[in-house]
Amino acid sequence: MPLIQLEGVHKVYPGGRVALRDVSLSVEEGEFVFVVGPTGAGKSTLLRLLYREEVPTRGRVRVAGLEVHRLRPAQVPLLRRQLGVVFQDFKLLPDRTVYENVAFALRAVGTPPAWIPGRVRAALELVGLRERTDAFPSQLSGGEQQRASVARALANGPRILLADEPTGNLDPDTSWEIVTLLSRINLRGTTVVVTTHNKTVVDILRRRVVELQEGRVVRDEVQGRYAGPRAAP
Amino acid sequence: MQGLARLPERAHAAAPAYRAARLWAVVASYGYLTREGAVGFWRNGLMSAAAVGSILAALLAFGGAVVTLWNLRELAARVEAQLVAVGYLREGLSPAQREAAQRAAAALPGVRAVSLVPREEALRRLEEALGGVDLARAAQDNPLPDTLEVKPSKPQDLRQVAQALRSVPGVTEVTYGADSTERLLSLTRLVRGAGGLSTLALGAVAVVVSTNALRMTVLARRQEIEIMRLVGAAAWFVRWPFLVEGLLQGLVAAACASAAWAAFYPWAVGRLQQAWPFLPVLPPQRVVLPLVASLLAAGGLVGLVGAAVSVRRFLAR
Repeated sequence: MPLIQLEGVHKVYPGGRVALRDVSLSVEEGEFVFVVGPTGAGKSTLLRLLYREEVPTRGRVRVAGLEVHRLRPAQVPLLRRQLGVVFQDFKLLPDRTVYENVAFALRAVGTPPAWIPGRVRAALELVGLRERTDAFPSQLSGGEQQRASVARALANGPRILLADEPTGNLDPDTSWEIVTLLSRINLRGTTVVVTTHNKTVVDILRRRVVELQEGRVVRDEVQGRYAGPRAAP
Repeated sequence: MQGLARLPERAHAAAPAYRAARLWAVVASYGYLTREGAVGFWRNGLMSAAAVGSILAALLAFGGAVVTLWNLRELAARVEAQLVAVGYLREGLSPAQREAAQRAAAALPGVRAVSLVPREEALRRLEEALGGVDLARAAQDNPLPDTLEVKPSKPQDLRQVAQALRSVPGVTEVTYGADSTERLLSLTRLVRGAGGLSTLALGAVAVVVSTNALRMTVLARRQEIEIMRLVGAAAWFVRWPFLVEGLLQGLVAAACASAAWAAFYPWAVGRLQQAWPFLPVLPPQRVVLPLVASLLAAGGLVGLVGAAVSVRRFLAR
């Protein structure tokens, strides 16, 4: 069974804006998927459905064996503990150090206190922030902040990593750094879904590309580019 | 990639040792979260002070309503305690007949106590009420009959008791001030109802005020809440520190309100009794402790409810 599966998903926001139309998609465990498309195409909505920040208006969403569209609010934590989520704006707590930011997430899901330091260190080592554990977010560069947020998303050992425009606020070199980091995480077996506008990284990595336009999947290629064959010169 | 090898594996989650540790972690979490709540109270000093201030204002008013209510109830109870039905006994009854009448009256349903007032006593009371006139000499003879004074168990039952009293052998006539009693009873009902309602209303105001105050606290930390929810924290985990913080704010406000009322009430009673000695006010020793207990309970409750309502908005999404 695919790790992530959407069947006939429609999402209409209150007010009538249609974000997704009849989207069906499956992602196997261990895949790396870029979701591309213009602003407003429904990329973020797609991710928000996966971590149950939104519920579909119609259709089914299955993630890690859970029927996400049917989860009761009390069950949502069960889903979220299998996911790590990374955002364009990092969402780090400004009054806590890098270490505390990662530890905070572990503590929030009930990790035994004795296990926390080891996990935080391992996650920070993976993203290359071992030297900056005591720094506050404001003392970090954008790339370092994003790496800290990736460490937080990974610390709990999730099966799936969702990244919503993780390079949106970063310069090209730093963007590349973050994407290769996500790629390495994927090599470990973590399924990674990334929404992005970053043509360069998509074209260099040549991973699976799902393109959305006006809420529909218009392209799904195994080793795709940012722009589809029709648009290619 | 040295770090990869050391990243915790998901397999840990299945290990029995890990599960046991996790169970312990849940227990330990409550301690941690309680500390977080207490720390939050001190860390957000200004915010806490503002919240405590507004809850304090609400509780001071609430305390005033409670004190007033208690005094009104005491007043009503005293007035009601004076309500009796008076049965006039036929002249020339033997002592045994009088006692039989008293026993019969005491056996009536809804009667709490019956006292036999001999005509001499009745005359003495009348003389006293008239300001020490020597009526016995003036009238030559005592014109008053022996009476039975019957106290109902419940003031509302006075009318039925009075009616039943008429059927007691030896009783010729019964009075209980029918109209004025009814009016008095509806007045005491009104006083109790209005006092109770205004206390409830002020309690509700206290909840609203503290909800607003605590919403600021929650709002200031919405980012933390958002991240906790995002990583899969259980609802109780998110809620607990805020409940602790709300409870603390409510209790601190209640302690201040208690101190204020504990100082103010005895002083106010002293002044009142100087001015109007006959005014029946509850003595401080009967008010202060119950009031402090009520304020602490109300403060704690209001803090908890306020915090729960404020966090709910964020959790319900």
